[in-house]
Amino acid sequence: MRKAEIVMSMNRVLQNIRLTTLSKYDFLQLFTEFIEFHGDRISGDDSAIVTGIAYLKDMPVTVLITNKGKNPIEWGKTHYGEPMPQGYRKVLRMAKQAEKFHRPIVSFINVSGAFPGALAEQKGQATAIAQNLLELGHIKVPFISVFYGEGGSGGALALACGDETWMLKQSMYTVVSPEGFSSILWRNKNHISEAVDLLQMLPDDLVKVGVANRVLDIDVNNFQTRKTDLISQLYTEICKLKAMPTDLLLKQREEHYDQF
Amino acid sequence: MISSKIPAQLMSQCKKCHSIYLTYRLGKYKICPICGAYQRIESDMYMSLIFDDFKILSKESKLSNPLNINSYEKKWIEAKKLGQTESVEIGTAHIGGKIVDVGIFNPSFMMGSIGKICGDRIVYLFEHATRQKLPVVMIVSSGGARMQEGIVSLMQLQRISNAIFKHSSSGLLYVSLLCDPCMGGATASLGMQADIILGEKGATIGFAGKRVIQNTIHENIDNELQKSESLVQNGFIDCVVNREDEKYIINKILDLHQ
Repeated sequence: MRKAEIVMSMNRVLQNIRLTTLSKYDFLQLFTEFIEFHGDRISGDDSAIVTGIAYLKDMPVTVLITNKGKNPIEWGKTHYGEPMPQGYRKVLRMAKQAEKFHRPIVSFINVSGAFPGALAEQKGQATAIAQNLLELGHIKVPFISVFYGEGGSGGALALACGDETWMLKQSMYTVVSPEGFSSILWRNKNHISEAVDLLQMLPDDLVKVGVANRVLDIDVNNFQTRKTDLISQLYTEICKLKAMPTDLLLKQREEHYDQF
Repeated sequence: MISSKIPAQLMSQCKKCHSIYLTYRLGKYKICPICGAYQRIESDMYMSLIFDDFKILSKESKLSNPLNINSYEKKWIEAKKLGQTESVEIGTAHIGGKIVDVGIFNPSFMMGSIGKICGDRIVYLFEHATRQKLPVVMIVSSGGARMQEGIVSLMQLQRISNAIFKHSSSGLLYVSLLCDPCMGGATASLGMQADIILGEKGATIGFAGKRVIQNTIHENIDNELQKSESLVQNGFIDCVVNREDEKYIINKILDLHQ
């Protein structure tokens, strides 16, 4: 039902972003010998975020992919890909493991936000995100994030506070949904297209303001053909970051956020 | 004629039980005389309630309006007319003879939301404290990131987190006191990143607001779930404090870290 509501109310750009059929299965093709690891070692697992280790070409990496699922049953299981606190804690656990073994981290993000619900509140959603911003933001290995759909607020930042932020051409990253923004500015939800323009939430705008580093000319139609290009872009960038001394890497990361 | 002689602040209404009473009955700590609920107070009140003196570090800063929204600028100017300079005030204070860097939110200034100016101030505070080797106390009551500034306000959360990380890795103490309301990005960054996290009695503290939860997943959540008293039971804050005891407890914590 929620899906139908969304479809009716949004404009074309948003439709393409929100209903993207790109999923974890696509991004797992970038890697070989992926092994999925589960759980935060405290309270459970969260299928909204898939984590594991794999090879990128010849390089071991830690992979984080948010996962909405492809059909109603999967949407239910992953609560529309909106992570629970244990999802964020799992990410932090995996990042620390990556740090220990000097493995770079690559994350693929499509989250409308952290899951809003009683259980998430009870299990410490705010604390989990706060810890990620604090510790994931200072993880001592190269950390690249790729947005492939929605990127909503703190729930996305908690998976993207690394060195590089890349956007597929049909993706977004924003502090508030255009619907929410419309109700703040106009007190109703009828100004969605204007909100999309105002919010500077699309890839080109984000590069202009400096939030994102590059826009990738990849979408659901050309993914298969552009796959090798994405692999080599990731590989080259990681090698570049890996060659930097750790203190320089962290300094550069801080400076990226300090420009705002 | 009569009405013009009645002072504007003579009567007050409780935010919780909606009783109306003579303002003086709220007393020093602004507690409802009928139901005992704490009324929201601004930075200047906390300065005098908790600290012996307070030297403001905030500089007058110009509004950055990254999305160029006219109505935002108007709203911001309106908010300033009520007396506060922005959603947070920072300064160096004394308590029980000790020096401490302090940031206090103004919940009435655009919901205490975190924008560019607020982020600048908090980052400056933590950097100042790191240089001067001072502990930091933050009194947080904020609705989260300031939506009118778009993605820039989200980036402030990461900037603040980075500043807190540096302060923390220098071995310095950070205490946060979460007051009503503490929501969204405020809780999910500086609020929950402290070494010691105190919650004011009865304060609403959480990530997603009640209405957001209701609108997105159609779930009604229990009012009590996001109260200080529940957070302490669920293990996310260190203790619940009464407004009258805040000075004493913060002083003791700082003493124990001398």
